[in-house]
Amino acid sequence: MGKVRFLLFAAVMCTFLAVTAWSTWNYERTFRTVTTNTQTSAWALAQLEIDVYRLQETLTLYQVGRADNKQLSLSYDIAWNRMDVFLTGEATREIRQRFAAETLVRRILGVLQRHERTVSSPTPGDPTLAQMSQELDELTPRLRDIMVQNFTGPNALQETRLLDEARMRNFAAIGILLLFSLIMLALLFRESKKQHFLAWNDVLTQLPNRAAFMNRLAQLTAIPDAQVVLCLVDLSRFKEVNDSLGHAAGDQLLAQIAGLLLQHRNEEVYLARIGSDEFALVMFGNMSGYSWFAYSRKIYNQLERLLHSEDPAHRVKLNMGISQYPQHARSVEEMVLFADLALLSAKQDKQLHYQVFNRFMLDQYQRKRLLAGHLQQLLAEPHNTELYLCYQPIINISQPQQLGVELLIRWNHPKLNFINPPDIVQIAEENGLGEKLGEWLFRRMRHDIARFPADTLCHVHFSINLSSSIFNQNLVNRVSDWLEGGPLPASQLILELTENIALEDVQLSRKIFTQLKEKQIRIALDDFGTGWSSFSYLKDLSFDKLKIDKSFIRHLDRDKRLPLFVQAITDLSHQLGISVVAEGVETESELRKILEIGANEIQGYYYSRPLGADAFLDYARHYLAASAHETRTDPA
Amino acid sequence: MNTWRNRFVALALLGSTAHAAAADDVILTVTRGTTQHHFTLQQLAALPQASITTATPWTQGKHRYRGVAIGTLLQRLNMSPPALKVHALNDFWARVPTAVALQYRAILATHVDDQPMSRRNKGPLWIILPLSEHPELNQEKYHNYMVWQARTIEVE
Repeated sequence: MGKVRFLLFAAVMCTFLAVTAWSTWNYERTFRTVTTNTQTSAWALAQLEIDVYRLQETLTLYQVGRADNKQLSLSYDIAWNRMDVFLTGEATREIRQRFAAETLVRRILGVLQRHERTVSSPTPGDPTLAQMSQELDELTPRLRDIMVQNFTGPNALQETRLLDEARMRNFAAIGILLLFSLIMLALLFRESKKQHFLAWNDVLTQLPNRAAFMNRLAQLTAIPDAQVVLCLVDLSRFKEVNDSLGHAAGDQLLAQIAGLLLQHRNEEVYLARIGSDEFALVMFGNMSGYSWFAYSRKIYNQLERLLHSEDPAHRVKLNMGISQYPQHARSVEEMVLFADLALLSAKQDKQLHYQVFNRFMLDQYQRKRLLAGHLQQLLAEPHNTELYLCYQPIINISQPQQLGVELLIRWNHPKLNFINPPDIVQIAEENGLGEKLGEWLFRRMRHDIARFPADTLCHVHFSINLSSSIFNQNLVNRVSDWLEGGPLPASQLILELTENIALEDVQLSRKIFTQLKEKQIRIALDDFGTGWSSFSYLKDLSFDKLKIDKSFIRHLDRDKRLPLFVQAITDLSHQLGISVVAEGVETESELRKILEIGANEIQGYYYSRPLGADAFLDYARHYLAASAHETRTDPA
Repeated sequence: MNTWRNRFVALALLGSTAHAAAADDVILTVTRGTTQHHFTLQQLAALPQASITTATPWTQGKHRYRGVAIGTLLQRLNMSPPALKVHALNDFWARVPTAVALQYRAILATHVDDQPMSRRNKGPLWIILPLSEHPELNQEKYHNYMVWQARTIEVE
């Protein structure tokens, strides 16, 4: 298309140039023809007539004695010269050929030449002079005729006609030029309109794009005392529609949403598509005062209904985040940020997918921003005291000579005190620090266990939690690198991951699992029971351990139904060759119950809370010594 | 046309006084107010000569024209007028800007191809501009300056 348009432009330009050149040349030629010779030839003819008449006159006067020899000779020479010029020159060539002028002038000159001898030594009474006079009298009327014809006859109009023709040709040329100019202008206009539209609009929905949206927002807030409400509409998990039904279906859904929004738009609502699955409704004027709430709720409900019918699988979730200017935000940027924060909160809230911005959201956001910056600094220095590891023992019931331990991250912030560990992971993930956090964990662990005696260390198995961004193709290499140089062998490492990490891409997970197993690194499924907890992936992915979430363990001894679940999970795991770890065991009766069910390992306050590195070393020593003693004394 | 010219030259050679001016005839008068300067062919021929070889719209082919440069004449007369009004025998006249005459070294030709110019062949004086050498002169405006059968120059 671009090539065709370029060729069209080139053709138009060439035509333009060609027509201009041709028109100029044509006009130049005609102008030259007409102007160079018209005047000269007309003058030459008129002067010739005058000079011949003068000669006749002088001749007559001479014969009656009223002119002398000199006068006669002069007018004779002048007439001769005039005729010679007329017959010779380039300028008179054209007129010579008209009306047989040349023949006539030659005849007149002939008369002069025949009587040259008489004129050079004349006598007034010489009859030859009378003869000459008579001959001239016969010819001059014809000269007159030519004069009249030249000025009035049809040929006289030839020059005018030539000019007229040239003029008409020029008109035609100018017409063509105008036409092409108009075509070119139209093309340029269309092109620039299209470019303008593309620059400010989204092609799929024809709605204004983000840039246009920001401009409009700036305009609206620039009005004094303006009140503006910004409502962001987001479709979370929209990607799944694209993935499962194809992009055409996804595009169609977006177009339908745009159509619905347009259908409900009024003159105080501005619509834009500001992201792949994000729309903006800007309400201003009266809309921003009272009716925005009802309006946005109505839109929400309408969109919900549309999504329900168009996405029967209900994968796509509708979220709305709202901010107000100037009640919340004091600038366009703030308004967009605050609406985004409300939207984020709507996405995270399981019940309320419609959220209006409040200060708490901003505080949360700012806290996270602050922590993210801080965390980045801390991760750069592995031995700081603010960020450290705790070690919670995991008792292996069937193999008491072994001790498991889960590494737990702790952040004792100087101002905000302890940061919730899941928040630390989330902040790291959201700010692209997941990998750094993983590396830090390993380095800190190696630093902590460096002082563990070898005979203790060789009985301890370390569980480390993985965050989602580390779980990729490079995981095995990374972990191998981090373990290199000891003191922990890969066979004593267990990586714990939650089901949402493992299930993101089952194919990939399977590949990673295989690689880990080649390195003798074991994998535990963490927090089982809190998510989908589908049995199918237990079949697809070969975990070494399954950790039953503490919500299943607490009050296990007092509930009637819980043990049924735990029993079923445990039995199934055992049949699949997966070892079962019970998390959060706090009381002796809970312990008894879980042992009855048949869990292999126990983690929880009943045995120990998470300990500092030194405290854990003490614990491990005592525990291992005690179990060695027991083993030794048991047979006795 | 050449046959005509040849015939004319042949006639001129017959020695008729009517054709070429006699050496002692006054052929040029330069007037300034009431003062008059007269020149015969002989006198003009005694002045430094200049020549221009050119074609003209009124002749066939190129010819060599010889005579007094207008600049030389004015210098000789100690005049530097802005323009010269040149009158011809046939009552034609033209106002020739001195600047043009000087710039292009226009001459008052008395001879063509070393033959004195007769009245029947644009003589005895013809103002010649170098049209062939300066194509920009080949337009009506300059053609009009080229007065033939010139007789009187009125200094303004």
